[in-house]
Amino acid sequence: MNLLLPCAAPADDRFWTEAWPAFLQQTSMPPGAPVVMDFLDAFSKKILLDPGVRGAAAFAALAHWARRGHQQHYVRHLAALPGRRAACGVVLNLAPANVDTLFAYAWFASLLCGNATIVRVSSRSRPVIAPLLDILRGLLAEPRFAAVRDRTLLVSYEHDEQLTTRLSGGCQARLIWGGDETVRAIRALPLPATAREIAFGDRFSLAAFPAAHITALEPAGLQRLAEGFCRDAFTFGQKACASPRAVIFTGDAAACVTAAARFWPAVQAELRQRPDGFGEADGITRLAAAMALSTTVPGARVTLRPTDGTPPLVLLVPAWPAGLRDQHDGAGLFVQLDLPALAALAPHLTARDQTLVTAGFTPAELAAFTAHLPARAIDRIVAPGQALDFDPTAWDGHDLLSLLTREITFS
Amino acid sequence: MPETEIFFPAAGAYSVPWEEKQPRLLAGLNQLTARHAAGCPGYARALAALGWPTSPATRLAEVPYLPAQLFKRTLLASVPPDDIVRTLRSSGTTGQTPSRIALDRTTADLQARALGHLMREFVGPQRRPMVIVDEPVRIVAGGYTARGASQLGFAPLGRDHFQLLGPDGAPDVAGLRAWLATHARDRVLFVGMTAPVWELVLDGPVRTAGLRCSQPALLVHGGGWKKLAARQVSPAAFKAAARHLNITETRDYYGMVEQTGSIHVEDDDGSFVTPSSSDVLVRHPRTLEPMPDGETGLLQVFSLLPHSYPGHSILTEDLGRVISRDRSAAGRHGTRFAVLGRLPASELRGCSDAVSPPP
Repeated sequence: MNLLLPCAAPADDRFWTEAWPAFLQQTSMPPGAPVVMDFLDAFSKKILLDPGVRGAAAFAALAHWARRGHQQHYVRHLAALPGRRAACGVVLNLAPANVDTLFAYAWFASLLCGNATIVRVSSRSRPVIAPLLDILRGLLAEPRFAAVRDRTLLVSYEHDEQLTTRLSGGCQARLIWGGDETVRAIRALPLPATAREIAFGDRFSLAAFPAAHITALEPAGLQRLAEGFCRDAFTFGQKACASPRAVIFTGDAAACVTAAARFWPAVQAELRQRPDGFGEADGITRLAAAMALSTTVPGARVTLRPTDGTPPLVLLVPAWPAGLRDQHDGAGLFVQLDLPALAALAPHLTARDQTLVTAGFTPAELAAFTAHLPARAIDRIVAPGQALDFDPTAWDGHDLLSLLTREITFS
Repeated sequence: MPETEIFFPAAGAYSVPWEEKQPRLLAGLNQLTARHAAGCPGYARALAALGWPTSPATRLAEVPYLPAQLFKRTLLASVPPDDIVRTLRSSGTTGQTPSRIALDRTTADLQARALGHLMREFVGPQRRPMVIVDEPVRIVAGGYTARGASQLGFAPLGRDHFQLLGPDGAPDVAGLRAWLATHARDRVLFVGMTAPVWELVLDGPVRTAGLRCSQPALLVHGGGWKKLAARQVSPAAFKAAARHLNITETRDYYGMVEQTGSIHVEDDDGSFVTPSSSDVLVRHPRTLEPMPDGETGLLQVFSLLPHSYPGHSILTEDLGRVISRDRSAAGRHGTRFAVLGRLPASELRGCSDAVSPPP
């Protein structure tokens, strides 16, 4: 195991005999502690002032999220929770490799609740997040942030049941940030009897637009829509659970054809302005996934496949493909399905489906849609560009700020 | 039973010049495309989705292909389920979905015949005493792994087989010593996967025990260099270590479970050479357009053997380069090529891999 924060070092025997027990002895901070707010705001400023770092869209998004003005919203949310709130104690986060910056959101949300926080990051993320870690190390070394430093452990190790069990042994909450395989593997490891566990499994996300809305958009509006859509889909190479992988146009058949003929070129044009985040292997995966999906759907047709091998690859299907969610690897593939109305989408959805990116539907259409959703299907309906916004007050249907604090009652 | 003379020429698997082989190979592949399109609805749909015709191709690069990944994602068969005699699985490391390949009697027979036919070039006409550097093949759910399939495929080339590993995976070094003693006058044949051969024989317990073949021996090994490359073991070091045991000749081979039987064996110059029943082509890793010989890209492999599943034209994720289509210095006809590792993969799926699943 390697320590990445508060400082970079291998976790040797001395760590386990000295630093680790001291970490577990830390008292909790009050939720929304000023030192945490100052720390997050200082971090945000450092990123936004660093031309080498702020250029990465994912880093800039994190910096905006961490700034004081935004965090105050969560502090108010914490204050409005019932009863007298206190931190859980020690929280262990097992962060995913698909969204490299998620470790920071998970850590910051837990800090904000007042918890001493352990985050295990994937070794695959380490090269990507290295510039963030440098900035964070510098901040944690400042005496004014000692309270944060003493309550922070960012570690990295290859899968190791013994280590995960050891880290779990000291915590009051364990968060497993997906997917299904990881949740299954980690859940089998013991937790203290009083600890709670929150697990996020594999999810699937979609976008839906009325064909008439796409057709009616002014060029500038279309470009804004494409920009938002690309941010949602491509910031993490379509691998975030909230990134749309299927696109539904609603309306009559001819209107859907017209809408698709406007929408996809706009997406392509937008993609040329930004790195798509894909490698050559993704191109093969994209093709293989499209072919695998078409084996089950007679009449499936690839309607867009740029000859230079860049995304997007669009597979138009006449019917919902079996195994859509398992076969789709998010490598720049979009499965397009045309439906007469948004309400017709509801029966196709399952508990696996998380985010629906939409624009142009009336409140009545959205209400009819949500009224017919199967159990647990769709946790979020968001506008283009907002799919990846991390909201700890409602993530996968959970209020993390409530779950990472506890209520002390007086009578 | 298909017409097989074209790919099992009497003069050997490396006897047909490329120009002569091309039209016959193409005709055979075209037949297979039509056969699979008629027999496997999923295959027909996948090609139709891309607008790829199933009508006869006029050159190799036009033969429609499937990405190798597709066999991990779905079981494609062109024969009724009752005709499937066994299912092969790729050995794949834990956590990866294995490929699944459905074999009917015809395809299984062709694979065995093709492998025997091409290996005679290297082993000679006589069966040789054989050491199998592996454990006994386990049959699971009506099929076995690629590793098992290659062991069973090579077995008919040998006699008096010695299985180096027990079912527990432990090498029987004392047993091998005794076996080698009884074959002191024979030129024995070792077969196995590259990494275990290195770990157990060339750089492992067999060598440590000081075992040595009395007569110059031959080693046939496959499965890729990834593990050994990570440990800085070069092919030259591998061959040098083999000579310590008096294994004077080693032949690597490149093959995959999707095209069992038509493997590409190492020619005397170290390149892989295609047998009469197959060929290779290189495609650009991003555009997937065919590339001129000599340039590095993704290997596409052709084989005339798959009759029960649409695996006659497969785009692999292996990087390679065609060296020559001329007759080699060792006198072999066939396309000679180099394999240069795998396309760096992003294997994340969905919100997965916070931690990889336990082995």
